[in-house]
Amino acid sequence: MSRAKIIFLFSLLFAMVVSGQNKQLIYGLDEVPQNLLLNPGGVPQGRAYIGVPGLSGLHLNAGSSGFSLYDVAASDGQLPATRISSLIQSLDDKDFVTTTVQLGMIDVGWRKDDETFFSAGLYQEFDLIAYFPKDWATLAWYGNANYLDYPFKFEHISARADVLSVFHFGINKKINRKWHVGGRLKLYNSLVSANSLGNTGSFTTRLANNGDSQNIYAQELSEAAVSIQTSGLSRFEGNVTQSEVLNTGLFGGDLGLGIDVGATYQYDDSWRFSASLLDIGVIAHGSDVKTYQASGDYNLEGIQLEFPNLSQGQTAPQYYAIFENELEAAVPIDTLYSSYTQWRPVKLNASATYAFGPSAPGSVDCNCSGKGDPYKLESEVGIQIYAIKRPKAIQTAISLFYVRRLLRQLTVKSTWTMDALSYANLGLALVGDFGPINVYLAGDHLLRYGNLAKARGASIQLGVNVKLERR
Amino acid sequence: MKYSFVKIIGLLALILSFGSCVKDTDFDQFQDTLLTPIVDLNLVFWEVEAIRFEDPSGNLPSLIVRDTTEIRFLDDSDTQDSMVRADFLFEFENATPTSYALTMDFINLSGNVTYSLQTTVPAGDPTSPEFYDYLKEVVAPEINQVTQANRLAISAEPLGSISNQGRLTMRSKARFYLEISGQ
Repeated sequence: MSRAKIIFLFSLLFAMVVSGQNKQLIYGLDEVPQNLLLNPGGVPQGRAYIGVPGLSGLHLNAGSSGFSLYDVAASDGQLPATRISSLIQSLDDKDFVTTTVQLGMIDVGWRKDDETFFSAGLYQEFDLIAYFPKDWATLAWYGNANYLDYPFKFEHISARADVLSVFHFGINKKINRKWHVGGRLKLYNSLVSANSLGNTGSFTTRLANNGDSQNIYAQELSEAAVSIQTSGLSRFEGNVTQSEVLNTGLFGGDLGLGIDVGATYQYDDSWRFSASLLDIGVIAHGSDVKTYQASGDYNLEGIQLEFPNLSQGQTAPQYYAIFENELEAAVPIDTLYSSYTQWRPVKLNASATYAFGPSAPGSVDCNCSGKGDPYKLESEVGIQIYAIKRPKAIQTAISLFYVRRLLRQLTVKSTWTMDALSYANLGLALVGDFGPINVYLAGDHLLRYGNLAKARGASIQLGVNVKLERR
Repeated sequence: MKYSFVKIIGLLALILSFGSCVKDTDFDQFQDTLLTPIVDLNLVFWEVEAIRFEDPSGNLPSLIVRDTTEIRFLDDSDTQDSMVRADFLFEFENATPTSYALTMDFINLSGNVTYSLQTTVPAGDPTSPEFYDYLKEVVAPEINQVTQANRLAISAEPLGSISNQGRLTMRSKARFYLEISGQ
């Protein structure tokens, strides 16, 4: 595969992927059992539920903070080089692409008593974030000839990808009429992980000055420290059997521990507040670990000829080999096999909800005594915030939402989300209960579904559960 | 009622899955030229004392000095595919009262010269050196001769009588114009 194709595919990858793990359409929807995965302190309904294996919760999310597929490959008659040049100029190293795939394998919940609800399960997750390597894209696209004195910075190289299985067990406790709190213990099983984070140093070309180079340029690699950490890559090399993949997917990877915590406060029949912190945890990567790192300083002056007096039988100096040896000595590339730990990307969800209107279909007419459980009203509006700790910054999103319980079996939630990808991300979720069967389907960036090429993101969530109502 | 809901869910699923599409894009356009970087690199540099051109045996009026280095990336297949132009800049400082004929030979693996540059460096003076720049822009089809080589040989021949004072120095760089296509 040619370099150009690799670069193009890399660009395409950037165009395809999006803003992380925000599930604004499901958060706070008590009708969806998987809401407990977003807030273990939510308000669980019913006596028990079991997710359909492999279908209890599917979440696909992809996006880019700086551009769409259309920006890269529009058929508008403009030269592709012009378009890509414009993109490279407009993006910066904080722009990113991200994609998340979560697949619920096992998901069950059951009520111990009126106050206590347990939930447990297993899901698999692929999560990727890659920041736009602005300086290196510039160097690859334009070269260095017109960038004298400009330091091309290695910190612009920043990316992380993880594939893991997560076993979890959560407890939700109703403290009183107003408070629900909950926690979830997570056992992470990392199958594959790779990252290149915290790189430093730069490469600069400048005219030689004050003796810093004997040649025309001083081409300086300054305080370079670049590394790539990997674990689990070789687990899937060679002839890997299905059972080996299954074993690794269960407990054969690198293990870690984490917790989720959350709470819901029902101020009155109308106002409700909730918040959760997810994935406060760490994974210890200890097996099949390889860290490739290069560090050092080097001034690339070129090759110095010596015009030696050679006698018969003497060979000329191997200048190029000497140059390569000097470079390797100054900037050694090492492979380390020592273990490392990595924090999971912590996520925050919070919401304030105001319910109004008549009581929801199927709910009691009023909460006349003021002592029972808060009853459901037909409509809700509110605001949600979401934040995730990413390598370069905390990414945030804010959503306004409207929930309407249309029928006894049907709940609709619509959201308007503003985040790094878009200020006009409209989403819609439908949740239905057909007897014991609970189905939900949600998607956002709906305004762009007519032509996904112009979307900076796309997200879809769906799930099927069997719910048992309270006796 | 359930039938209506199924219809709504089905409609949304259709919108999300089949109703969405990717339009107004053309990926075939990337078959053409994609990247056109211009890369500046230091090349070789050296310094030779004037006395180095004297024949110790005294049999010859002067010696031609010559040295060779590999430039391994030059005949790399990627370089051959993508290089469309190369500008070579040689900067000389002659602090000897002798002019010199300079030859820069590009040599392939078989030892054959594929491309050659010649210039004459004017005489200078130990107290007042002569600064002389030689720029050669190599484009197609000659550029293909340059990228057949993987070695660069520099030779300097004194023109006229030589002095044992002063030195001749050279610095050099190359500016490579690349065109990398999607094919």
